Amino acid sequence: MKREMSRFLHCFVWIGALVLLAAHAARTHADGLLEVEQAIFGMDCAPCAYGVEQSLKKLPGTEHVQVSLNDGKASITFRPNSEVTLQDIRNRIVDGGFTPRSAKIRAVGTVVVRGGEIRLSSGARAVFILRPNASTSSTLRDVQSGLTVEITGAVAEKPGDPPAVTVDSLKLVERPTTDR
Amino acid sequence: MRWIAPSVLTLFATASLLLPATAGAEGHGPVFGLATPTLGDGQWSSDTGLMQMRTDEGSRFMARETLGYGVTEDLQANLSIPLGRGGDQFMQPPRTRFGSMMGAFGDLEASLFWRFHRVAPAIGTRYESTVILGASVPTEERRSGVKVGPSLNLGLVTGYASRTWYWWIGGGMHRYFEDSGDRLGSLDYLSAVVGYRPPLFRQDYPKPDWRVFVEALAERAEKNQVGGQGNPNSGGRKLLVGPSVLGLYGKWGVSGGVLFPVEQDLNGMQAEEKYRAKFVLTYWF
Repeated sequence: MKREMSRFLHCFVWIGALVLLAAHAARTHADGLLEVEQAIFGMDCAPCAYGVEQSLKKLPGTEHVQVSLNDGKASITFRPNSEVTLQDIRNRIVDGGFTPRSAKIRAVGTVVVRGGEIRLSSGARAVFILRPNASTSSTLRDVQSGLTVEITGAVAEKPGDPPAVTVDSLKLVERPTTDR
Repeated sequence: MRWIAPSVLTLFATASLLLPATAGAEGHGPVFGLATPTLGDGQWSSDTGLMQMRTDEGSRFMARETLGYGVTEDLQANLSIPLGRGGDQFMQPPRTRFGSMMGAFGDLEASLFWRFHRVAPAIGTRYESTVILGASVPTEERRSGVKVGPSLNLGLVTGYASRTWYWWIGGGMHRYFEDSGDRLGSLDYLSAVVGYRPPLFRQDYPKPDWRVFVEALAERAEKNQVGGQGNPNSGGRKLLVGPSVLGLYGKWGVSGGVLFPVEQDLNGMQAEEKYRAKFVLTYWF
């Protein structure tokens, strides 16, 4: 009986380890927001910038934050697979007493085409509606569901829910073979 | 200086070390006048001030500590306590507040700042308005020979903040309640502030940030009531003007200024004020 129990526990541990490894392998591509340049109105002084900087640094997965008073913006880079959304960033700025405006983003995610609308599922929580500009209209027309792409684009002052991105560039991202 | 609340200073110092650094830091304003900024949501601040008032009777020093907390980004709660006094004894200490936003001498004051209006029309620019409501209890039985009761303070200020210019205009009323037939005279006050950030200090964050202000403060105090009778040697009007400076770096701020009376009309035989000077150390956490 004891030997049977021991064997069962060993199998359980090994199966669990394999499941965790597989889950990790499935996320080894850089998914999620990678860079955000968020415009901010209302910051007039050094403590304003300091407070915004400290608040944004506390977002999970943040790699670097730089706040400019004179340009009125925060530039943020994220580690791969960050689960931060654009709304998380905007909420932190509002909590500081300032006004978030338009933003420029770079993100990686999976394309979902449904009912004529093209969406990017980026990370565990972020979803963007992709809209073309003059130079990306044909690229977006040809994109297919399931593809992993990296986009850069602009988000308006009132981005909507989910936020709409006017895409400036789109390129395919190669997935590691272990993911397939 | 006789310190009347060293244990409270220890409490604030301990709190500032233990409380986690939180989001937001709204800057700061003038030394004596009313201003509009409020702390960010969940943010704390500590203002420790030292003020000197000089009159014909001599000099008196007062210290005060104010702890602020951002309930939301537009609502700030404050607790302001007197830390101690020293220097010459005035027969009739001037009726004023330790800076319009920091409570009156000898009072323990709790207040709320509600920034009910805020518009950011451009980079580095805000128009905003704040209402101030405070309630205080005295930490002494008598002040200027008058039994001191609790009080209420109501203020309103509107203003503009930018990378170059600042201005605020506001006013308030500070009313004391009666205590055993005595009542400290109420105080009405108006303040106007203009601030300027020189080009040298308009370099981008995280460079140090300095501003200069010109502040004006008008005060009108009622006569103190003693046993139901007005004390003829109390109350009056003053208009004071002077410069102040504010320096900010990271989560630290230092400010200081001086006001000189340009006009005084004091009842009875009160000593005229020569100047009041103040220094404040601020920390955001």
